[in-house]
This record gives sequence, structure tokens and C-alpha cells, in this order.
Amino acid sequence: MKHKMRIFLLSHDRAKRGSTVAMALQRHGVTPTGFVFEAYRPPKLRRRIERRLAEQGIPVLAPKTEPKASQNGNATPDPYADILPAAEYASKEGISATQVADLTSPESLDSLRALEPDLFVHAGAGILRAPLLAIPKLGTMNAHMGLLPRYRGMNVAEWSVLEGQQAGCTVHLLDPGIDTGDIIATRTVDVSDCNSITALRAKMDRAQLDFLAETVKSITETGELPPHHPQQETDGRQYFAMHADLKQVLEKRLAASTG
Amino acid sequence: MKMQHDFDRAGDRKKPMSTMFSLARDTKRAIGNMLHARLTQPGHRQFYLAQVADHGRNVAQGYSDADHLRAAADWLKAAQDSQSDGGFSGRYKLDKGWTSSYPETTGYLIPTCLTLAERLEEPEWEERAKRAMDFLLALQLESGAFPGGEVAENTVEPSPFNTAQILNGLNIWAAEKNDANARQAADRAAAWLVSVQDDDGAFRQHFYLNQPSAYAAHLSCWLAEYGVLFDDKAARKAAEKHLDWVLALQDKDTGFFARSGFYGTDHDNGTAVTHTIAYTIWGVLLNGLLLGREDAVDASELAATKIMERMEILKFLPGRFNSRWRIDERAQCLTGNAQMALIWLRLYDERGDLRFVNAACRAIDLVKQAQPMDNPNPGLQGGVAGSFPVWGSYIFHAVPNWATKFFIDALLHKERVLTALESD
Repeated sequence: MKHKMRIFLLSHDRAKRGSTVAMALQRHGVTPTGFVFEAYRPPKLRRRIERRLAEQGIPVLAPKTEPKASQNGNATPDPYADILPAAEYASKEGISATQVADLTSPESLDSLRALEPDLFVHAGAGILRAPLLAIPKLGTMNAHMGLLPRYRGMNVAEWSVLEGQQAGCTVHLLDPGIDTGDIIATRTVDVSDCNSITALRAKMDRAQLDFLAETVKSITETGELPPHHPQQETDGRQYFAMHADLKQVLEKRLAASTG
Repeated sequence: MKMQHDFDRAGDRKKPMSTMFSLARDTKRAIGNMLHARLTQPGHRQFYLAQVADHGRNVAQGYSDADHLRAAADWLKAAQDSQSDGGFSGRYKLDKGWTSSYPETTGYLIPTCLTLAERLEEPEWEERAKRAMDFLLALQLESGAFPGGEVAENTVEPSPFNTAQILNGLNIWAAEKNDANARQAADRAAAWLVSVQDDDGAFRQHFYLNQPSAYAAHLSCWLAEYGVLFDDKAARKAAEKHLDWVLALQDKDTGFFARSGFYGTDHDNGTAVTHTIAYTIWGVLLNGLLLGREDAVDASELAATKIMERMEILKFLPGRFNSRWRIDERAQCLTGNAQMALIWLRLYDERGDLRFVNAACRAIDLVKQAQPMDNPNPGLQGGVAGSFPVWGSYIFHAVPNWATKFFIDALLHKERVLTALESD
């Protein structure tokens, strides 16, 4: 009898990313075995303030939920406004969830090993270290919004368009570096109809999620990873968050390119 | 620009001590600093408070780059108008006000003035450059050298580094205005520089603190500029010889240049302030471009990339680094920020890597956040302090003219790059 692949999504209970990845998998006929939720860890200062407040009997601060304001003061519309946080989505869909304090402690790693995972899928968790990445039999997969190895890091969809290069996405295995794991496959995306950064990111996100889901589906069918090849560090560049002035240039170009 | 007669607090940091003792020391120092800052003077209290509070004020006010440029240009005017000799005051010090004219930085302010005249369409800036030029010509020594330091402290001791910064002004003025006097002064200054170079390419004679330093790349690059503009083979050869000396000091993995700091302790510890790190990188880059040395451009790109990565991750640019690009001092050297922005923009021009524009915009933002935009004191309004906070070790409690100069240069270069990108 064929082994039923045990696939877990690594996420935070409040992260909508976990929900969008699960939804994409389900659209392709794959229901994940479960979620692994890393406990929410507020930033250091916030943790200290919350602890002090708690000591005084004052409830902790509510998590920030407002959309980020852009530099010109306009609020960026949240394209994921209707998406449930991952914990709520798991509960609604009847997908099991395992909560761990973190993704690094021996206790947490033991809990994850006990799940006997075949595959982890990165779905909004934080940085994943080598001991965790060694747990699943096949590895840990990620979808990346740029064509690796060239476009590593942040805002790579924006960077590729600003640089006049082909936009695309990559499904790859995670290693302890930043977007440096073995590449499973890349796919170009036609973004010529995107008239804004928001539209660009939305299209690229849909494309990468579908690509990831298709790849996971093929793994469930074959029981093994597709061929994958390593990257050389010198093959790519690491990109950082795009500055507002360059985003403005890109917005103008995108608006102009679609008339 | 060097730190003569400024406080250097680098030597007394990070000694292990009890928390109570540390707190008492810090409190004592803070009180001492506040007394030193003359908080009763117009605008001083506001300026001092801005170091610790309301740091996002300039962003919230929505000032444009043009607003920041105008404020910085007005500060430069005030710096020149504070003196009667045509030079630019070296700095506005919180404890003493304007200091005397500084020949070195007055020299490299001349190209900035000429660019401002064109960009702002204000001929006044050309007149200011002319006044600065006349001031400098009167100071040149018999040997062809120019004196180091500010005029109130020295008019006789020659300085190769300062001479070269003045040579940059002479070069540009002579080339653009076809001015025979400036050209003759440039010839003499360049010849003197060549004459004091050691056989191995280093500059040791008369050099600041007698420390042969990698940041003297910011000397040889102006010699190279002279050699190219006026077709002087000896100057080009001397510049290239020095370039080779500097390139040999670079760690090929990290990109850090040994001896890029001011002091012997910096050289021993492998540390440096971003001001001199940037002097070194810029000097290597410009030498590489002027002399057709791709290896030098590569070397500058390596170091600039490492610093870019550190700044993008840290979200600020520490004022001092060690040789592994770890933080040696958190207080920002605002001059270094503006200089790095210029380096990144110039590298973008050459290599087309837009990440450098990104980094430049961020570094410029860090300076914009620290620039006083509504201070009633003309010595502070629009000027760029040496450090942020102003009690950082580099140019303690003062607003040096070269920080504002590099900030203006960076804003103007950024404007050119973004305009070109928008029209692509």
C-alpha cells in the first residue's frame, strides 16, 4: 500500500501565510497533514513592556493589526484582509495543529520528530535552523517570489521588474542560508498587465503558491523529491527591502507600461 | 577631513565595570556634555533634545530632498559668511560657535559651490567659489603645499592630505574657468605632492599624526584627477603607485582596508570611523576610474558591498567598524553616511547595480533625519553634525562643514540618478 505522505506547514498561529499556503495545496487536491505553529514571540522591547504590564496586572497590548502606512501617509490596502489567521483556518478546515514554543529548542525539535514528517513546507514561520531542517525525510520546501539564484532576499519581484529582468518564482529546498538552498524549479511570470506594485505582488504571490502546490502534489504522487540542483553563492545577489524612492520609480513605470 | 583638536572618546569605551559605576560615569558625562553644549544659546537646547527625542520629526513634516538641500546650502552660506577671509568656517562648535576658516575643506567645497550654482540657478554660488579660491591662493606656501588645520591654528606647516583636498578645488576651478592662477597653483601643489611621496608609494612625510594611512587614497585620487585633467604623467604615475600601496592593504575576503583609520590605535586594532573608511573607498574608486584600473573599482565595490549589507541589515550605519565589519561604535558618523551614499551612487553609475541606489537613499535618509530643519540658530539650522547623536566620538559636539558638503553632493547625485531612472 502506498505510504501517505506526511506534510506539515511551518507557520505562526496568527500568520495568514499559513492559510494561503494551505488553501493553495487544497486547490491542488493536497490536504496537509497538519500545521506546526511556532509560538508568537513579540519583539524584545515589546516583550519587556508586556511583562512589566503583566506584573502590574495590566493586560498585554493587543497585536498590531492596522495596515502599514506608506511613506506618503496613504494606507496600503491589505490584499489578505479576508484571509483567516492560520490557527483559525486550521480549526475551520479540521487540520491538526501542533504548537511549539520555538523551532530551535531540543524539546520542540523532539516534538517535531515525533510527527515523523516526510516534508515540511515553509508557510510564514521565522528563520529555520539546520537541526530543524534535518528532521523531515525529504526536506523543507519554500516558494520564493523571484528567480533564484539571481534574486535572493526581499522584494525580489519588485527588484526584478525595476531592473528590467524577467519576473518569476522559484520552488526550492531550504538550507540555513537566505534563499540559498537547492533549486527544484523556476517559473517565469508575465507581469505585463500589472499596473502597480500591489498588483505585481498579488500576481506573483498567486503564481508562487500555485507553483509550490503543484510541486507538492507531484511529490505526493511520486513519493520523492523532483530533481534539484545546488546554488553557488556567487551565482546570485541578495536584495534588501526596496526604498520608498525606488518604489515610487517602479510605481510610475508600472503605471506607464500598462497605459 | 581630520579631527585635529576635537574630542576623541574612542579610547575610553567599553571597560568592564559595575552597573552602578557605569551609571554614575554616564550620568557625570551626560551632565558634562550638557554644560559643554551651552544649552542657553539660541537653538542649542532644541538641537540637543532632537538627539534623543522626536527623531522622526523630519519625516513626519514631509520635507522633500529639495527642502533638505536648500537648508544645507543655506548653512554653507552661513559658514562662509561667518568669516571675513572668503574661507568656510571649519565647524560650528556647541561650546564656542563658529571656528576659523578651514583651507582643506574650503578647497573641496569649490566643486560643490559650482554644482550648486548650476542646480539652484544661483550665480551667487559661483561668486562664493571665487571668494574661496582667492582665499586659498593667498595661503599657498612657497613649496607649493598648503597648510594643515584651520587658519587660526596653522598657516605654515604643510599637509599633503589637506593640500590634495585643496588641489581638487583648484583642478575643477582651473578646468572650468580656465583660470591661469588656479592652474599655476594646482601645478605647484601637485608637484609638491609628488615630491613628498615615498618610494613605496605611501605618503608619510608631513602626514597627519605621522601615520601612513590608507585613507590617503583620498589624496592620490585628486593627484590622479590633476594628472588626467592636465595630462601630467608624473602625477598619474604617483597616484597609481599610491593606489597599489593602498590596494595591498585590502583584505580580499572582507574588503576592509587596513590602516584606514586616523590613529595608530585604529591601525593596531583594525578599526576605523566611516568617514575615513569612505575616504579610502572613494579614493580607490576614483583612482580606478581615472586611471583605468578595473581592479581598483572591483576593490572599492567589494568594500562598499559589505558595508551596504551591514547597513541594510542593521537599518543604520554605525559610526565605526572593525575589520570584520562589526560595530565598533553605534553613534553614526553622519559625514561617513553621506560619503558612503556618494560611493554607492557612483558605483551604480559604473556597475548599474540598483542595490547601491537603495543603500544610498537609506544612508541619505539617516542624515536627513538628523539635519535640523527648523532651528533658529544659523550655526545649526540645516547643518549636518559630525555624529548622531552629536556626542558621538567623531567631531564631538560640532557641525563640520564637510558633513554638509558631502550631504549636498549626495543629494545632488541622488537627484540625477532618480531623474534618469524615472525617464528610462
